[in-house]
Amino acid sequence: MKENSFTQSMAWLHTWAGLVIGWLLFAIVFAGTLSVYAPEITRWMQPETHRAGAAPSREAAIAVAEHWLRAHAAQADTWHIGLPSARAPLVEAGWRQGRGPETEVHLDPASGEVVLARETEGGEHFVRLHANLRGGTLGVWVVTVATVAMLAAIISGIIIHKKIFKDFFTFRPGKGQRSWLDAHNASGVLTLPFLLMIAYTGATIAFMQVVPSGLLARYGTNFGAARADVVRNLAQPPKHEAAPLLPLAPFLARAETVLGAQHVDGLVIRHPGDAGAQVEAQRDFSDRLAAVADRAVFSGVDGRRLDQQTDWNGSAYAYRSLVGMHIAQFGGAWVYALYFVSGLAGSALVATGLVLFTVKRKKADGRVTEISPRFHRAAESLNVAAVAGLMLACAAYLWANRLLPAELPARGAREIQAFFIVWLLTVPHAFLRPARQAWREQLLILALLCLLLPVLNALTGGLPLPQALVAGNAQVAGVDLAAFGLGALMLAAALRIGRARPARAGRRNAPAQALQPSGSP
Amino acid sequence: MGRAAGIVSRVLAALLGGWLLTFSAVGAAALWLPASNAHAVYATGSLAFVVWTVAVLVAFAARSAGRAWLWMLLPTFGLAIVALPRLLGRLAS
Repeated sequence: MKENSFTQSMAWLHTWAGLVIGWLLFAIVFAGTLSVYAPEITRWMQPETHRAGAAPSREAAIAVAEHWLRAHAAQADTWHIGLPSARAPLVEAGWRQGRGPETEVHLDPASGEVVLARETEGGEHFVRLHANLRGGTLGVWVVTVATVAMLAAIISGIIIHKKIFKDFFTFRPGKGQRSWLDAHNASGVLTLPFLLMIAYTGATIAFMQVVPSGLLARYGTNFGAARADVVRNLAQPPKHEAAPLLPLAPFLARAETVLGAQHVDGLVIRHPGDAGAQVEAQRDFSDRLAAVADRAVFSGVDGRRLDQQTDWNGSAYAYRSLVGMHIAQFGGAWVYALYFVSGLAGSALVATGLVLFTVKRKKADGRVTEISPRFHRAAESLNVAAVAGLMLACAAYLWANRLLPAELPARGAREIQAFFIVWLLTVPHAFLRPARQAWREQLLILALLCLLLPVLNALTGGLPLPQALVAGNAQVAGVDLAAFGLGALMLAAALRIGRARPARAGRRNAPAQALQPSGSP
Repeated sequence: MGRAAGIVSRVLAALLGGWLLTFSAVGAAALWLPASNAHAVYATGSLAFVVWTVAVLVAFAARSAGRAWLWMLLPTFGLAIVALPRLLGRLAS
């Protein structure tokens, strides 16, 4: 009896925590899924960069940025050179004065010309939506609380499951509530290790902000000291006497003997033209779990190695491994694909859970049980806006990127506004239309926007899909193809909703009792 | 207590009470851990959300909302008392 009431309270937690945070969680999980390919989305959203050439060599790419910085930013205090990679093929050249903001240009590594790309947040919009719902510090708290609730919902979901292995191989399609339950169980069991890992590591990323008691206990409010204990400061002040800066490209080979071949992804040049000039090379973490940037510093005047950091505090390294597991910069294309597919399955888990809540509380004759009809109707409507509406807003964001004029002032902010306006509009639509029609109409528009995205890309200055495939431009082709694939999936879903019989005519070939598997929500 | 008030109280116990418990557990562990500052901060921070998640489950498994609060606040005060001498020692030095 006691155990039974424990299972019941866990079922209750799973159902209600799942419903209330599910509306937010779908946005967090789906935006996180898109964030896996944030660099690809950014490139797609800047068609001006689609035809950029490849760098003949990494040294040549550095020389391109160096040439530009010497000509245009000779007086700056700090330069920054971002090396091109397979995911971001342009060279970044940035500079700043004192502690001021960095100014940045992107250069075609083949021609050395500045690429004047349209202003956009690109895929970063999804990263920010995922991390804090674009709501600053308050947003971080909301996302963290939702993530803790997600962890509790996952674990209570496991507790209320007695037949976790069997459920994974069970799918009974076309049977209303039972099919939704099977789909919810299968996507949950399939992605269980991933979901636990991604939720836990995601919450932990922000621990210093949300649970700063360890930091306060050891360092008080001196957060700078806490950072300096782990990330050593390698910067030296200028000497205030002029001295010519050595050519930068040869620093690459020197840095790679310390940091590893092919792993330097950026240079920072402090005090160019001063006798105290420093060239700092930074390492990527594409081959390791821990998201830590090893660094090596050289004199910019005589090329001597001055200092380096390639060793890390063990506990900080372990924490940064949790961060690295979340942001998935290790392991290359297959890991990105695995995270993306797992993220989609996680999104399906949240969506089917939300639908299951409403389906389960509507009897075959249309009566609503357990909750008031008005609340049931509101839950149905919010489900549509939170799932179909959110995805629709994501697609609309990509369309706004191409339909707003490239020269429009503050166009990056306008794209974000377009995203939120469309998402907001899906709410009244979901409340005004019957639930089934609301799902159908929003999914249909979503499907159209996704299916036509490759056409939009080709018509608005982007590299058309066939040419992108021939040129091996996996980024532009990948976004087009992924959108098309998701669009086809959404079209199938919309058509299926249109064809299926309404709930009150639903099949009842199982006794009502059997619709309540042991311990299910 | 009405049903709705009980639910709200239990949710607050899980979130607010759970956070207080996590905050004090991480703080007390960081103070008592015989390790360097960086080790103490990162090791305890990396485990913080185990505490909070378990706290949420305990709050919902408790027989009543009042007991849920009790389960959150008793260990919180206990940890605060355990942490106090070390904290005062650090503030004094």
